[in-house]
Amino acid sequence: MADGSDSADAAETSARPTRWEIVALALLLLLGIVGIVAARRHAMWDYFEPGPGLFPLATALLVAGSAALAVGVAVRARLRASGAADEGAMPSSVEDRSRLLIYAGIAILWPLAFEPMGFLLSSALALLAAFRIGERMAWLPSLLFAAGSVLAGWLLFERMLGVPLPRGLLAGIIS
Amino acid sequence: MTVSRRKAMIAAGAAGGALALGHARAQAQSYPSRPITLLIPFAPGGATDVTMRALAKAAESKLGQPITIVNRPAGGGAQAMQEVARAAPDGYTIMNSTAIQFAIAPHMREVPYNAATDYTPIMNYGAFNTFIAVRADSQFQTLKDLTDYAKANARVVTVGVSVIGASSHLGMARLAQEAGAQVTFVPFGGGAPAVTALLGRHITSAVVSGEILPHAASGAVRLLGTLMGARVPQAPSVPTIRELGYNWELNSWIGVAGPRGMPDAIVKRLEAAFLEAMNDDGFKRIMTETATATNRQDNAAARKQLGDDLKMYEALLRQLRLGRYAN
Amino acid sequence: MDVISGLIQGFTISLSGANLLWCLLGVGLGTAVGVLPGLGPTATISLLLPITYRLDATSALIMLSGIYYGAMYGGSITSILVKIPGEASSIVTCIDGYEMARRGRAGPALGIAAFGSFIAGVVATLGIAAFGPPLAGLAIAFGPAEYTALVTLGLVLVTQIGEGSRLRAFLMAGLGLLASTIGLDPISGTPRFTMGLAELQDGLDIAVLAMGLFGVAEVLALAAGPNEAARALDRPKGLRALLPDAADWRASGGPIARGSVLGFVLGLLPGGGALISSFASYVMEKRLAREPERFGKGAIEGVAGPESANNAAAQASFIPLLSLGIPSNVVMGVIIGALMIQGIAPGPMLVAQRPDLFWGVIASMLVGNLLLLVLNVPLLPLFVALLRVPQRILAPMILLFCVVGSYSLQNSAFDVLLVGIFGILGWSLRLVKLDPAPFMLAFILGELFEKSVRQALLIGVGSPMIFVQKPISAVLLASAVLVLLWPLLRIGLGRRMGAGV
Repeated sequence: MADGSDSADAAETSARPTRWEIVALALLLLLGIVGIVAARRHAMWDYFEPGPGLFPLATALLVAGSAALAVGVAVRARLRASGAADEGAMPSSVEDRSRLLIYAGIAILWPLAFEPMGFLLSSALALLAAFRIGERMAWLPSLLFAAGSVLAGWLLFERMLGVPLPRGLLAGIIS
Repeated sequence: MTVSRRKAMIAAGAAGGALALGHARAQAQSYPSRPITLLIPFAPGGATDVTMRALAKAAESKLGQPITIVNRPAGGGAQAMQEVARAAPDGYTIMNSTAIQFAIAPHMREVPYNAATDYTPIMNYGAFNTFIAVRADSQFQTLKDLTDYAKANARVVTVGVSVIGASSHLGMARLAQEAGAQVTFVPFGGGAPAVTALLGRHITSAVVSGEILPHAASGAVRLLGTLMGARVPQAPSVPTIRELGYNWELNSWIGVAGPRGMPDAIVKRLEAAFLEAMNDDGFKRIMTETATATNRQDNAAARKQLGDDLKMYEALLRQLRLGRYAN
Repeated sequence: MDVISGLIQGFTISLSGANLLWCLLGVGLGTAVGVLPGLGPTATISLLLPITYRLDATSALIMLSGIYYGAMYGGSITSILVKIPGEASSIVTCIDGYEMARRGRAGPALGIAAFGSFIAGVVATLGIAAFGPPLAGLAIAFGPAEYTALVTLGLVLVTQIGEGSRLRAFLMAGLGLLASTIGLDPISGTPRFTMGLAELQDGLDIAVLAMGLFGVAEVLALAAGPNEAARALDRPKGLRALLPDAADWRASGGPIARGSVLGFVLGLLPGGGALISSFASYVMEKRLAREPERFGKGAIEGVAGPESANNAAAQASFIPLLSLGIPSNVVMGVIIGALMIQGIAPGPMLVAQRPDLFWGVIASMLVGNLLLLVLNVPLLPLFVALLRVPQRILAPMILLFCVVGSYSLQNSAFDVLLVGIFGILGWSLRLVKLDPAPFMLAFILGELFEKSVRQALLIGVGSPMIFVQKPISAVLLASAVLVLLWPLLRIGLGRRMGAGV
């Protein structure tokens, strides 16, 4: 692994690693260290054989080691190219931050509401939020698209494919 | 989830159950008046799923209501166990129960349910066969040959099992201990891969379920014994562990259970329906095809079995220093 | 010849009116459900399984295999069009398939996937006919030591995949290995990294990871990106541009042939063979290519090879399933369940006792592949037209399918939440130029790797000599070392022979 990769890295990251890349790699380094600490709670070797802790420890060491190396490579490449102008707080590939946040919120809140509220209600709300707030569509098409896709999803999965989708709040209304 | 929060949730479920109790009693006479949901804590397609579906189908006509099957394999079945523990004891939420989740898992690791108090056993209908197998060209003709060799040559005999903590593994571990033999258990994550490893000469022997029977029939393997109490119709020449001189047997039961606090009338109604359904030809055929042993245990027997097994496995695991008693 | 007469009997059965219909229905339904973003073959076949309960055993198995192929092709469609792999083995298809679609060559990519799969299907069927059920012997020859070596080779290949920094690919593979240790320890059953959650006992589900890291992450990338008007995506015009042209065929011939053979051989091995075949084929084609730098930028060989390998492996995996009762993946496990419901125990006696079933299924695989081709080539314009669905509709739809699809896997809302979390993680990884593909592949192999290493050490009473004493294992380990050292060797050889290699 040591061979060749260094020069390849230098070539690829000549585009100057962003601050975010270094932060992410550092977080992975941290994750590797946490993994090492957590793995050490398990037996490494018992009954003459590898124990439950050995493989997690080895992989966590691998993660921490390669992350540390990657941080080093990235920092060096960044310092080398320090002549270039500094980029903004968010990377340039994010053009629509509010829409991104809406979708990220939906990706977490929808699953959380899925069982307590039920499929129909949670999905209708989530899709309405996506169409109306995320995609900035008008109210009427948003409502129509949300209702249509929820209904289609319900017919397809519950009726045709027999998935027992959660009823949630509507438990008494639909049998 | 922390332990205290888990306990609080179980307590809340129990309180809900107590409230629903009065309501449920009133319902007992007309039971069942709507479809029953039966949770299977395994993925579709396995022997437990297939036999349970067949039994439920046969029981529908006895109950006069459809039984909706929901597979909830998540968390090694722990999610289904939790869901039933929290369900109202009105007989409309029941589950497939096995010795694995009810009697062994609580001793293997911390589980988010109390198998001894959270459930009402209803009946048992089957049991996993457990055979000790070697290849047909093996030097071991009898179980005694195997244990004697393992006694003289510590840790050389390898025994393939599905997982550590399966009843097959625990049964064989007990047997080896009593015989004074030292064997090495190799878990394969399932019966079929353990059988394959046996056929490929990678292990000495395997303790597995019905999936070995086709290979025994083809003459590729020899069955040295069954850990069950009775001989198996598909392999009548295979001796039971009692016949081989051990004073115990293994019943890796499969049955039906519900949440705790189910009214007696509802339990009786379900028990009768499922016991009667065991006479169904379709069910019997599926039991034979999946090589699952028939194990007809009524409510009283199922309750006793669960109580006895919980104690037995705790003692065994403590003795073997396994699971929660490893250190 | 026994095999020939068996095959003839098989074709008679599979071409009978009713069975042909079930096969067609299976292929059609499988494609229709598999093409929903997020729903891979595993989800599709579990969902459609109950339909087959009413059929007789042979018809049920024919229909199920039809569903399987259909769902696999459906997964390839989503891999190519929206970069959401339906299953582990189409992760590799995403790399160059999606790049082709972005360059307006979605049609040829989909076309070569269909034709390649068909050709691989023919090769695999001929292989089964030529060598017959004794092929199962190869599966038996693979024990823990041999699997360890095979998976080691696979892991080495994983680090060779994808463009971008090798060091970062290595890091992501390490993360995948670490993630694979979440759940109960495969040997002792000790819970590891479960944070006290019973839901994590079984570890992370590969389908959940795929939906999150690829499906939801793609939705977030769409959301973060510019609006439609600014989004340049070339769309082909006319049917001519939809099919692979002569140059495409010239480029794909070799990859399809090599992929078919590779997939067939590795598919006979139940543990991870099929998956390894798809990216082994990718790495092989990249190594053999005159301009390896085209890979990752829409090289048609990167689609043709892995897709063929994938399909040949799927076909071959029916051999260990039917003759040994060993399921090679979750889908095969479901099929075993279906067989048991039909009252058939797969095993060594099956071929002798039910030749009609065995050969009927083998023959219908070929028929199924043909139907897949016949059904899907005319539909190519329709699939490509899916790219025309406005992004503001497409993104919420993918989200809906990922949510319901992940719920349907185990009927568990926890899985849905994991999909959301991994979606956000997946998008963040992309942002910082970390490729999720090596993560996914290493994740799957990691579990197998740890299990086999520890099984082998148990069998070898703690001695690692077992890995070099067994011939198959020694050869595989040697090839892993060779692949790892290949760049060095090539430099050495190149110096000696001038411009060679």
